[in-house]
Amino acid sequence: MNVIRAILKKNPTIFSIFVITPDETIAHCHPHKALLSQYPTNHLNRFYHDATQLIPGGHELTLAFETTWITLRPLPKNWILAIHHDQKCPQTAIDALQRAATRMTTGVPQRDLLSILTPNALIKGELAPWIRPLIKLRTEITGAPCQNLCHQIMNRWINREDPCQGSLDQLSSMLAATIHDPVMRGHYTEKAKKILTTVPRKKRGEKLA
Amino acid sequence: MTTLLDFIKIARIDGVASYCLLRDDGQCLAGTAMYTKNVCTALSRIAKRGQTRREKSDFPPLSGLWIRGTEASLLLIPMGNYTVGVTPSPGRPENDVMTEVLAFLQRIRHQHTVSQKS
Repeated sequence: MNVIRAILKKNPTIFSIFVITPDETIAHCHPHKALLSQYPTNHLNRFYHDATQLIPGGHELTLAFETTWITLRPLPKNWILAIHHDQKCPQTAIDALQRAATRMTTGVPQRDLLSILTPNALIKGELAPWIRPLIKLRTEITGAPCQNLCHQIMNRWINREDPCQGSLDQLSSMLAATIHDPVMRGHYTEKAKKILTTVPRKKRGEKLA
Repeated sequence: MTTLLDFIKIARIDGVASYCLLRDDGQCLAGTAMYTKNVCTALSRIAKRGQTRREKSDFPPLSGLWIRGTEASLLLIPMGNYTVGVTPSPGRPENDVMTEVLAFLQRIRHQHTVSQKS
């Protein structure tokens, strides 16, 4: 993620990148500008594979919208990388992004891929013992279900930080910022600290690392 | 009025190696590209899908799309109920060829408008 962030920082002509799985789930890596969210990304993976099989060795599909383009490149395991960029964006930047995204997806087992990129997988992954109670706490304190909001916050967290135990306090602060009532927010912050400092208990029969 | 005779002048554009004009149902109306009926149908379907995607969003109109292969590329330009397919000459950037082809299509459309007015 750090390499991708560095490439994006260096190349302002790239607006957004996102990764699409074969089941068309969008693992949104970096929304640099709002434009991409307006683009209907449904079935883009299938669209890419249908189009590229029409010519021998098809390996790139570009959609040109006046001065901005969306370039689709393949990733391992039939994932695709979609890059929304200005037409002046250098080809080398797109190549570098593809290489970085390929490394990211190749180095991680299939079952863990989503845990890097999507909120759902994070909730089910290794950080679940902290993330779930944090979300539950926010719901209890505000009294309103907040699944969509929490997913948005987690997406922002994924974009800013590498999700790990060390950056959980950032996620907690972001969740706290969504509570408008200062009293409720204080209450949340206090209880969240306890959650973050708690070491999850091992299940019975599970070996200690 | 614009006719197929106007359209086939597309072959004179520098950078156009081969071309085809396809109807929505995949029928090839003109062209030098040798595609089977199945490929023609698939090409017009892909162009249509690209266009339909754009219609559902706030993006500007889709000018065209191109597929890059190991040896050659294929440009697809949707035009209403038709699709123009172009294979750029080796080494020519797809975008440059698309700009030239779009300008050419604009010119022959303009001829059509002028002849209608006069």
